[in-house]
Amino acid sequence: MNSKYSYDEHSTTWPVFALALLSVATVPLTIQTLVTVFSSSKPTTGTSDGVSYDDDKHAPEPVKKYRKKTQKSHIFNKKGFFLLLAWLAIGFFSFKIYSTEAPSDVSSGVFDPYELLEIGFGTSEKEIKSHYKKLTIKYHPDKIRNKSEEEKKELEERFVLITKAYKALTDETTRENFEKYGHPDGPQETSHGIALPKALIEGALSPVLLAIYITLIGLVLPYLVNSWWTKTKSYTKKGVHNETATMFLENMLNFKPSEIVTVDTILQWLSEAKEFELIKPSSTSDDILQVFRAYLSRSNAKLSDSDYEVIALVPTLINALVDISATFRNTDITNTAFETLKSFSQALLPSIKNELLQLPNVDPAAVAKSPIVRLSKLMKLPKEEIKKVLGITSDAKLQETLDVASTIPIMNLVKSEFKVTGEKVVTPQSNAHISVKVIVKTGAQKNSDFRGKIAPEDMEEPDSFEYLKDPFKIVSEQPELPTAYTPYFPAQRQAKYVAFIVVQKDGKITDSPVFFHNLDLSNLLLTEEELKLESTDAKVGTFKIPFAQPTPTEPGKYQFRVIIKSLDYFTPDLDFPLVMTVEEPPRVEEISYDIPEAEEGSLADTMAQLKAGKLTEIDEEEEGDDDESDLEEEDWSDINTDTEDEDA
Amino acid sequence: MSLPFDYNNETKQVSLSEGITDEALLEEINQLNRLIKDLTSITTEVPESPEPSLQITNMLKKMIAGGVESLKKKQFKDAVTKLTLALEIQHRRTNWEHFGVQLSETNGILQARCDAYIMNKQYIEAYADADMLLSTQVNTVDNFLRKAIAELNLGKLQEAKVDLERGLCFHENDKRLADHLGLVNHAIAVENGEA
Repeated sequence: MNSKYSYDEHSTTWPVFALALLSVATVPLTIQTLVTVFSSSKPTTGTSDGVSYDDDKHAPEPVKKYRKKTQKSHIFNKKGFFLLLAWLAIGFFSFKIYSTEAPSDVSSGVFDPYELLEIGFGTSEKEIKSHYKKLTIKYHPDKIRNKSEEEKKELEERFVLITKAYKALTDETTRENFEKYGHPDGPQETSHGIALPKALIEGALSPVLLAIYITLIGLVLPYLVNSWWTKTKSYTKKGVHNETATMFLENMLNFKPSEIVTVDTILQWLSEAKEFELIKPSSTSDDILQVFRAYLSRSNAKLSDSDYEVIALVPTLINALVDISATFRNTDITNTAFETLKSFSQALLPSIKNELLQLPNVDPAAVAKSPIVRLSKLMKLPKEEIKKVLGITSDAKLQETLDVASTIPIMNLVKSEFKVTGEKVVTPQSNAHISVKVIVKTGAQKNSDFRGKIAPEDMEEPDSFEYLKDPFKIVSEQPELPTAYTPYFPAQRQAKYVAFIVVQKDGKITDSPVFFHNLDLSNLLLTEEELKLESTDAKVGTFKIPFAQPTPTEPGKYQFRVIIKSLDYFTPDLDFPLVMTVEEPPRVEEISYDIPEAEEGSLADTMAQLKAGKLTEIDEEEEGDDDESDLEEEDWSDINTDTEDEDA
Repeated sequence: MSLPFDYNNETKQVSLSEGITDEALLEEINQLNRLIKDLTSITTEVPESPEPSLQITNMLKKMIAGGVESLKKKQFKDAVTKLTLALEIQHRRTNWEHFGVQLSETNGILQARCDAYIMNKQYIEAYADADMLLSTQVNTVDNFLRKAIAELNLGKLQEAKVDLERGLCFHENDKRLADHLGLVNHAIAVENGEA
C-alpha cells in the first residue's frame, strides 16, 4: 500500500463518524416529529368537548372514505419510516462502537516517562533506577505466568515502554530525542486517517461507491434541481399554478364595476383553474362547474375521488384569488370569495337559510317553510319548536343537532378602536392597528346574559412592557381554534377567521386580509345556570388587525369599515364602521424630578441642548414662546432620569 | 404585422379574425363599430357638435315627466315602463354628445325608476338600480337609502346596515339614514332573537 493515508481497517473510527453525521440529522427531526404528533393529537382526541365536535361522525360515506384515504398518519408515513431506519442505524453503529475495542492506549497514548515509571517529576537518578528495577521485576516477560495470551501481550508492551521511559530519563541520546520530538525513538511518522474502510475505496466495493457518486451527482441532483425549478416556475408563492393566477388576474382586470358579484361568478372563475385540468385531464371547466354544483347541493353519490380532490383544492385557490382581488382593492370580490369558501366548507349553495342548514339531521323542506333564518333565534326557541323548524322527529337526533349547534361560535362586538402602541390617541404618521374585543357565545346565549360578566381589565390593553414590545402577542396567546364542523368537506378544516378593512370613502379594501387561528371559545361552555350567577366571568376575545400604511399626516376623522368573518360557519359576520380620529399627541404633564443638572459638556447635556433646540422651533410655530422654558425643563428631567437609571 | 381583427370595406365594420375569442377585445371592437356606425349614418358632411341633441332632450323630458306623473298618481307599473323607455331614449344619444350631461340624465332617470321599483315592490330591480347609482354618484343620501330599503325588503339586513353606515360616514347628521339604521339594527336583533 503506497497510499499516504491509513484506512480505517479495523472499523474503529468510521462508525463514530457515521453516527455523528446520522444523529445530526435524526435527532432534531425526531424531536420535531414528536412535537407535531403530540400537538396535533390534542384537538382530534376530544370528540365533543363542547367547543368542537367531531365532524367525522356526520360525514357522508364517500367523504369519510376519501378522508381516510388521504389522511396522513403522523407516525406511519415516509418520514416515520425514514426515522425508524435512521434510529436502527444509530443503534447498529452504537453497538459497533461499543463492541469494537479501541487500540490499546498504551502504545498510542502520549509518552510520559514519569507516569510510566510511576514516579514524580524531579525524582533523583538513583531513585529512578531503583523504581525501574522494581518495575522490571514486576513486568518482566519471564516472570509472567498463569496469564492469558492477551494479557501477556499487554504486559510485554508495557515492559518495552518502561524500558524506554527509563532510557529517556537516563540515557543521553534518548533523552534528547524525547525532548526534541516528544518520543524516545526520535521523530515519529505523522499519519492521516480516513474514517472509511479500505475496501470501500481501493477494494472490491469501490465500483459501488463510484456508482453511488455517479447516481447522486449525475442523476439525483439534476433531478431534484429540475423538479424544484419547474415547481417554482409554474407555481406561485401561494401555491397555485401560474396559469390559474394569470386567469384570476385577467378576470379581475376585465371585471366590470357595474356587475354584481355573486358566488356563481366566483364558481365560474374557479372552474377554469389549471389545477383541475391536471387532476382531471379530460374534463372541461363546465364539468368542473357541475362537480361544484353537485358538491354544493350535497349530492355525494355523483362525486368520485378525483372530484373530492378538486373540492379539497378550492380553499387554496380562493386564498390565491383573494390575494389578487385584495391587491386590486376590490371589496365585493374579496368578500364574495370568502362567502364561497364558507359555502364549500359546509357544502351549501348560497341561501338565506344556511345558518340552519349547516346543522346535522336537518330537513331542508321544513327549514324552507319556517320564517327563522338565524341560528341564534333558533336556539332560543323551546325544544319542541326547534324540532318543528328543523324537521327533526327524534329527541336523540335533536340533541345531536344541538350539540353541534352549541359548538358554533357567534361573535358579539363589544369594543373596537384604533390603537397606536404607546400612545393614548392616534397620532399622525404612526403605525396603527385595530383592536377588536368580542364576546364569543352560542346561539342560545343572549347578549344581555353577559352584562356585568366581563372583567374591566379584559377590555383594556395591558400596560406592560411585554405588550408594548409586541401588541399582537395577546392575540396569538389565545387558545388555538379547534377543527371546524365541516362534515361534507373532504378534509378536516381548522377553524379560521379572516379580517379586512375597507375605506368608506371609496369602498375599497386597504390591505390584504389577515387570518386568525386563535380565539378563546370557552364562553361556549357556560351553562344557563352559570350565566345567571353573578360571579361567573366571561372571556373576551381579541382580534388585532394591523394597518399597513402609516396614519394620515393631517389630524381629522377617517372612516373605515371592518369585516371579520368565519371561514367555516354561516354565522353573522362582524361588520361595523370605525372612525379613526387622528390627533396631535397631547402635551405630557410636566413632572419635576429633583435631579441635578447634567454636567456641562457631558453627553446628556449635549443631547438636551439638541432636543431643546429642536423643540423650540416647533413651539414657535404653534403657540409662541410661553411654553419654551417648560418644555426645556421637561426635556431636562427626561434625560436626567435616563442618566440616573444607568447609574443605578 | 397582422392584427387579430379584420376590416370589412363595404360595411365599414371591424370584426375579430377567425379563431380568436378574446372577450375584452370583442367588447372594444363592438364599441368601435358602434361609433363607426353612428358616424357613417350621419347625413351631414361635418360631424355634429357635442351639444346634446335637442330633439332627444325634448322627447326625454316628456317621457320623464310622464313617468314622474304616474309615480305621483301611484301607477307604479306605468311609471316603471315609462322610465325604462326614457332610459332607452337616452341611450339613443350619439356617443360624442357631452358625457357629463348623459351621465346626469341617466342618473336622474335611474333614481326615479329605482323609486318606482321600490313602490312597485320589485326590490331586486330596485337593488340593481341603486347599486348602479351608488357606483356613479356616491355622495347622495337618497341613493344609500334606496339601496338600504331594497336590501331591507330582500331580507339582506346586514347589507342594509353596512350601506346605511357608509351613508352616515358622508352625512354624519342625516336623520333619515340614522332612523333607518335604527330600524335595521332592531330588525337584526329581532332576527337573532335578542329583542
